[in-house]
Amino acid sequence: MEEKTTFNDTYLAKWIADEITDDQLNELVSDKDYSAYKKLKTGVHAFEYLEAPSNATLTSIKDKIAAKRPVEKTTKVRSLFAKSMIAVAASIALFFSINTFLKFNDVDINSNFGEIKTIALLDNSEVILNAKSNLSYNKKDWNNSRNIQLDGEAFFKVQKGSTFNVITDNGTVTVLGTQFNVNSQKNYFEVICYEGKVKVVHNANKYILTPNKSIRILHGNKKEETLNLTTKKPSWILGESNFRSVPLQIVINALEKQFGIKVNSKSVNTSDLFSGSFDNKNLDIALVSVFKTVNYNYQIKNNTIILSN
Amino acid sequence: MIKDLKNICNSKVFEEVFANYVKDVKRFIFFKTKNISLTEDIVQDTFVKLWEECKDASYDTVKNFLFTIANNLFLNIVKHNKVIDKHQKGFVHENSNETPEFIFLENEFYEKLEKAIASLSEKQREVFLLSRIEKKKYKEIATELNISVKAVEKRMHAALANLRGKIDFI
Repeated sequence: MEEKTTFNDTYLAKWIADEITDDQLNELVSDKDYSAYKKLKTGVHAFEYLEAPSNATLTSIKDKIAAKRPVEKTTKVRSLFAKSMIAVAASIALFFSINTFLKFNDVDINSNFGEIKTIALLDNSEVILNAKSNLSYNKKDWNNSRNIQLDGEAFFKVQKGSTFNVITDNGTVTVLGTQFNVNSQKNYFEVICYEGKVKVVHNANKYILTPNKSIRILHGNKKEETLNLTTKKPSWILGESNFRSVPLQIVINALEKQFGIKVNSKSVNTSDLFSGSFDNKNLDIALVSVFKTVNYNYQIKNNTIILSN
Repeated sequence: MIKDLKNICNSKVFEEVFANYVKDVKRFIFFKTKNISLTEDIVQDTFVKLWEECKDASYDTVKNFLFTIANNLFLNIVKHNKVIDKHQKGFVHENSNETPEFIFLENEFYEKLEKAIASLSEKQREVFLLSRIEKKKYKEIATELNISVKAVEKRMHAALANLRGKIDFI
């Protein structure tokens, strides 16, 4: 009897969780209630789908975009305003000196904190510039020599043609037509080859990278690695910064560039190696995923993150 | 910078647009298709298309843009299915083995259900959402809320009985 009365106020919970069947419910309630509950269950199932978090949907969308990306051509969009400005500036420049004109042909592109920029070059090659990076080239010389200056990180998809050089403070990367990622900053230089062949010149040494190979030069020490690349492009393009045993300082630099913050790391050891990733969208989550992993405490004051042991 | 914050080609802005509108698009398509896997396909393709056409999409009107894409994708499938219908009897959804559970679920009923769920007592709604949305077992909910499994089941039962009482089923 006791059993029966307690079951009386829980059977709907058991039924919706499929612990008792529709037929069993039908025996417990009137026909009218039974059909109402059946309809309610359908509505609840719709509610479960429509209200569920959409993370899986976003992941599928990203995969579909990534799968389509390589065959897609980005078209160059130049606004009419820019075009007329070029015309005006060019005619003024002609009036003054050839020097001004040459300088005008320098294209200089900067990405801001947390910003990713996609740039279509004159030959339809494509560059995706990661946060707080700089890229420049000379438009006029482009047909003779495809030279690009880079400070920071960028992913290149180069159309086949003459030699294409990426010149950085750390060294030069030379290719014919391929896809690769270059990350160049103070004391750190990394090149990853995604497709084709890439030649890297650092000081007097030359290295040839084939797909899945990477080279990293840290404070002048060289390390060549074969990677297991699962995607056709680096993860930062899809909003996640990924690291494989790099000094914490490199991760801190990346955090600063993505979020426009300052990190005060005086009281910790920034040469410890870090492997892992952080989300480029949410600073709180990014800080947890980096500093909890290495077991450092952090305090946020204005725009500065203060690290402590 | 302000321009960039509204540029859908920027992956962060794109994800923000996704977060803001994915539920609306899902719902819009779900009540047309009454089918989860078909809805999921259309919703994914809608956002892939938005990304491809991000340069033509304006941040301020992106909701309309999304609904138009989604509706067109839906209409294409209807057209395709009509062609199939000529050769096969009955309405057959491609790539779907789902039973037609939702065929008779109307938007009006669903809206009433949503309101009824929102008006449940705090304790009942908590258990209902943990169970149905977070997909937790009654045992897990009991541990989390520090109450007995029986108490969880009672709240869930009361929640369902309340929902039944709050909606008139005709």
